Amino acid sequence: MSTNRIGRRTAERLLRGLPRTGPDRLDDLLAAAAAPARESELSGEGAAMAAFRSAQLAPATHPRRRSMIKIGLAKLLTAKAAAVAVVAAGGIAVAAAAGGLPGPDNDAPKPQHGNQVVEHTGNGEKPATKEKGNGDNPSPSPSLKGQCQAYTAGAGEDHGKKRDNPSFAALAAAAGGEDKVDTFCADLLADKPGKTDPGKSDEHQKDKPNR
Amino acid sequence: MSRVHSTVRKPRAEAPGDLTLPAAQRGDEHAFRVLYRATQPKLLRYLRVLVGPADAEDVASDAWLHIARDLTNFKGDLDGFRAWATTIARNRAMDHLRRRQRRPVVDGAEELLDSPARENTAEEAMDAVATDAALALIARLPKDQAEAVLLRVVMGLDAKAAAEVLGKRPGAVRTAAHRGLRKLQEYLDSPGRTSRE
Repeated sequence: MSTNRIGRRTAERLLRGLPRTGPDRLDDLLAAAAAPARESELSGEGAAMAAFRSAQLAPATHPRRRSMIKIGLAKLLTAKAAAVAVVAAGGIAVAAAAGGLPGPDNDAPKPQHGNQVVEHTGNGEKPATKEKGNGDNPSPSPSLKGQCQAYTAGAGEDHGKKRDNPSFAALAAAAGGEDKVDTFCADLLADKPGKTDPGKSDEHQKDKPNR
Repeated sequence: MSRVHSTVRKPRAEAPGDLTLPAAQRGDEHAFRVLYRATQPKLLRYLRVLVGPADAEDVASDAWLHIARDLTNFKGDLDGFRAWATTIARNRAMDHLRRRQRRPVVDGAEELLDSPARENTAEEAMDAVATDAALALIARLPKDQAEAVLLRVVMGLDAKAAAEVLGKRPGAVRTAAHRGLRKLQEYLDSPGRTSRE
C-alpha cells in the first residue's frame, strides 16, 4: 500500500516543506495547509496591536485574570496564616495553662511565649495554673475560642491530620480528652460554660472588665 | 531550516528579519505587526485543529495578549520566538479545552460567528478552500500525529522545537509526524476522503 511509499527521508523532507519530494497529492495538501496568510486570518490584528501598546505603556502590569488569581491566593493565604496564628497562639496558651510547656515547673512562662494570650489565661495565677494536672480545665479564653473556631471550621475536611497537630493535643487537654473536643468546642462557641469547671478555674475573674 | 516555508513556498510580503524581533522587544509597533502577520495565520491554523474553528480566534487573541505582555522578557531568536508563541497558544488551547469540558456544549450559535469570509479574489477563495480542506484532513488524524504534523509543517518548527512545545522527546514527535504523513497519504488514496468530520 501507499503506506510504504513514504520513507523516513521523504517524510523528513516533506515536514521541512521541501517541494516535490513526496507523492504529489500529499505535497499539495501540506502546501495548502502552510499556504500564505489570508486576510481573514489577520482579523485580530487590531486587538493584538492594542495589547502591544498597552503592554508598552505599562510594562509592569499584568492582565486582570492573573492579578485576580494572585489577589485571591494572597487573601486565602492571609486567612490561612491568621487561622494558623490563632491555633498556634491558642496552643501555647493552653499548653501553658495545662502545664505542657517544657522547662522547670516553678518557672513562670517566659516572655517569649508569654504574650497577652498567656496573660489572659494566667490571670496572675501562673504558678497555680501550671501546677494543675491534666485533668483540670482552664477557663475558656479568647484564644481557646479561636482555636475551637479553627478546629470546627476545618472539622469536616481533615480530621486525621488535625489530630496530629500539636495544638489539637492542647485542645484535647483542655477539653479533657480527644473525644470530648467536639462537645467542648460546641459549648465554648455557643458561649456556655460547658465542660469547664467554674469552681476550679479563674473564669469569674476573666470576665471582669478591670483585670 | 524552519524558515524554508517562507522562502520556498510563496514568500510573504514582509517576512520578519533578524532585526524585527529585537525591534519589537524595544517597543517598535511596526516590527510587532510584522511578527504578528507572520505568526498569527500559522497559530490560527494550528489552533483550529486543536480547539475547532469556532473557538480558534478567541484562543489566539488570548495568546497574543500574553505574547504582547511578556515579549520584552523573551530571550531567543526568531525560531525561538515562534516556538515560544506556539507554546503559549497551546497552553491557552488546553485551558480552553478544560473549561469547555466542564461546561455544557452550546455549539451551533458559535459556528455562525466563524470565518468572516472576506476573501477578495476567486483565487484567494480557492486557496482558502484548499487550506481549509487540508486542515480538516489533518484534524482527522490522531491528536498526537495531527499536532506533530502541524507543528512541523504549518508552524515551521524543527523536530527539537516541536518536541519542546509538546513536552515530548524529539524521537517520539518525529515518529508521530511520520505516521501522520503516512495516514494522510492513506486518506488521500482511499475513496470517500472528502467526507468531513
